[in-house]
Amino acid sequence: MFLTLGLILETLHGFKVGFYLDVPNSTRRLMWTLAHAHGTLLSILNLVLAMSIRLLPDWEGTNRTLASRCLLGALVLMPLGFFLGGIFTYGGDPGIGVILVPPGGLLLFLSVLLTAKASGGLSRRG
Amino acid sequence: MDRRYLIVFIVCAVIMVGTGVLWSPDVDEDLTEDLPGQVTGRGFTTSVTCQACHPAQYDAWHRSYHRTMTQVATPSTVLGAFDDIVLEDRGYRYQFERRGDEIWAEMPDPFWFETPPWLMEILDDDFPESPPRIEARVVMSTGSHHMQNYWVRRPDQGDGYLEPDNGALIQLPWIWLIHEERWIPNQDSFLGPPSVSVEGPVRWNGDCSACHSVATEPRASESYDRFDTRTVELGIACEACHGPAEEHVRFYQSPVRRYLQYFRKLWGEDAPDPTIANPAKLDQRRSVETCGQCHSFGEWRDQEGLRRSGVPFRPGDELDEYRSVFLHTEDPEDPLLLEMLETEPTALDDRFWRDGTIRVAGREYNGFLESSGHTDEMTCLSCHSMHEYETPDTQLDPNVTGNRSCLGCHTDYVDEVSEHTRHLPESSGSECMNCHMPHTTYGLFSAMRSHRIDNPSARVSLESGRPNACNLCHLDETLEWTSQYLNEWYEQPLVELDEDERAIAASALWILRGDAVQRTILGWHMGWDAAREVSGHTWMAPYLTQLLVDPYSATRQVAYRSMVTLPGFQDFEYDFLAPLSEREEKTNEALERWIRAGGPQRAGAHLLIDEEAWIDFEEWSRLLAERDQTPVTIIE
Repeated sequence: MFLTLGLILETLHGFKVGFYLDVPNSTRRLMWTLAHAHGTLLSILNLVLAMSIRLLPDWEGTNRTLASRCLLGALVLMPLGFFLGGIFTYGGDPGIGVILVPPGGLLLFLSVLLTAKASGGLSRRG
Repeated sequence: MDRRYLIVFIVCAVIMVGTGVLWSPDVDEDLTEDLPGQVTGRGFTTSVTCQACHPAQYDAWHRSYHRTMTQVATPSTVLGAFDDIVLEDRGYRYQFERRGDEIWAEMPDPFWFETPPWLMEILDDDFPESPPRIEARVVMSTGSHHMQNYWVRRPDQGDGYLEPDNGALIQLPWIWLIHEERWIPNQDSFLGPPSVSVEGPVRWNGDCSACHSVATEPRASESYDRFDTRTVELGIACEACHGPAEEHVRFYQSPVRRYLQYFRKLWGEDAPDPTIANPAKLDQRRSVETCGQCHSFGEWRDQEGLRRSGVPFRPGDELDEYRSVFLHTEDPEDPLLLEMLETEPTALDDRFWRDGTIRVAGREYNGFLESSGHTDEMTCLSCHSMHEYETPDTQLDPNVTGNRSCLGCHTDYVDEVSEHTRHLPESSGSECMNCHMPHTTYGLFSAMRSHRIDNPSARVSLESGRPNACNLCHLDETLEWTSQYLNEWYEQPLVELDEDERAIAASALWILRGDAVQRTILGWHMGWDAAREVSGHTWMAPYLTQLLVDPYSATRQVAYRSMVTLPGFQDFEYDFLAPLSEREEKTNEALERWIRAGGPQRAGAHLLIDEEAWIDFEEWSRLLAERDQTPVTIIE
């Protein structure tokens, strides 16, 4: 999905589409760039988390599920919020869709916290 | 966390923060010192602050000539050629050069030329017989559209008879013509009679800062000879039209307030925002006055305050409280106008047609006030848009271009434009503005649209000298022809005309025996496509040739610009500042070219040219001898 979004954004660049590139639409450009960047990076982070799980054999139960779901939630909410925020903008402010971003950020924070806590335990043991 | 990682993390953080603190872009301290300082504590925030929330409006402003009216002189803003240039004017030499990114001028001290005789007497032997030469850095520019002029700070080495550096920014007495890519003396950039003397210095601090920057404080000394000028922003920026924005910025720092405001707009609430002035939402008069603060001919009432702390008017205020806008009057009573007339007795005659219509461009507010029937509803924004415009040239609102700007209110004519205009629907004669806002104001080597909206009238032309719209398009027709048509179509009374006005084309009369403004405006119209299409162009060369030897340099330049658009004249070279003998030689060449190009295809006694291309020199000379020689100076 975010690969497609990236291709779309590149196409908008390629054809110099004013709707995306003109200075008055700089908020849209920023929001969609952020949507693409967050989507891509959070996707990678999800993969990294999945791969890291086997390094944390003792990390089981609610916390692991919660960390994974929080990261998935962040993956949905943050890019979606930025994307929606860029559809309709109010001058230098994004559209109301951007309201999804802060909860997404909180979920990401929570996920990172839970993962760090689990890996901290691993580090101490190592 | 591993201690090694912690140390690496801390070192990286320190490097990043340190780089951010220590790094700063190259600041040219000498240049900064020469420019006006920064105004603080008056509620202004500058356009940089506005950009964050209003990118579209900021972008539109950034593309406008308002922004570039005053700029710091840098390689990217300076358009003039400064590479080892030597110029001479009225016996004095001027030398320009680039030193890296800096631009320097070596020239006679402009202050020497304005030293009053009483001071010369006091100084006696100390007063130099010729102007001391000074070397000064160009620090600022004005204009970026038609021409650009430059400002220098008078340096210390000019001392001996005046304070060495009085803080004033002095105009470089040369102007760069952008389209022609050439230098001309400042004195020749205005429409004025020929002069052999050099004018004294123009000070940006007092004369220009009021309208070419935001909220500048000249901070002049009581004797008006020293300045410690401060400004909010160079150029005409956001707060020139919206007023100080600090309260607005503070109020909307909160995202909740911003989004509430957006939603109010979505729900249809469009009440003015009390934290800032918006000319689009101000009361009609206050809105027009926002533009009128600069686009008017007048004086600020508190002259002392003006010199000290600048213009007191803020958008949304009642302009009349602060500024006296001068309208034409035979019996001036305004003390400020009387004061002006003492030092400049022809101030009104120069600037107005005799019917009271302003004839200096850039004073559109005067035209607006003179427009009967329009002052209660129209605003400048009825036709112009500062943030959504077609081109920066006119800043016309693309939603109301052409006749839409008038027909939005004059709905009666929507379906019957042609019945009203008596011209073909798509022709230039059916464009409202061509008849009701003809190009009868002069500025920047050009005729510009009058903003006094009125009807064409042969009577007004006869009584005031203001050319009427009919004869500015139908250049080959007489005033009698106009009078008859206006009588037949609009029941205007016929006017009593003399023999010449009945027999000779009005344009010919205005060019040959008119005053300098009439001649210049007609010279411009001979290059105007709409007039060319209607009147033909093959008979115009002799008239434009006559203007090439006009005593007024600006008139010559306007005529030359029209002439090179004639077939056969595209490569005609001519210097409007060349000595008279050279220019006279050029007139012969111009007439030869005209004959070679085929002479007149439209001719007749009313044009003083017959079909064989013979010019009626007897009549021509008689009319020239009757020319209105009244000196006219258009101070723009």
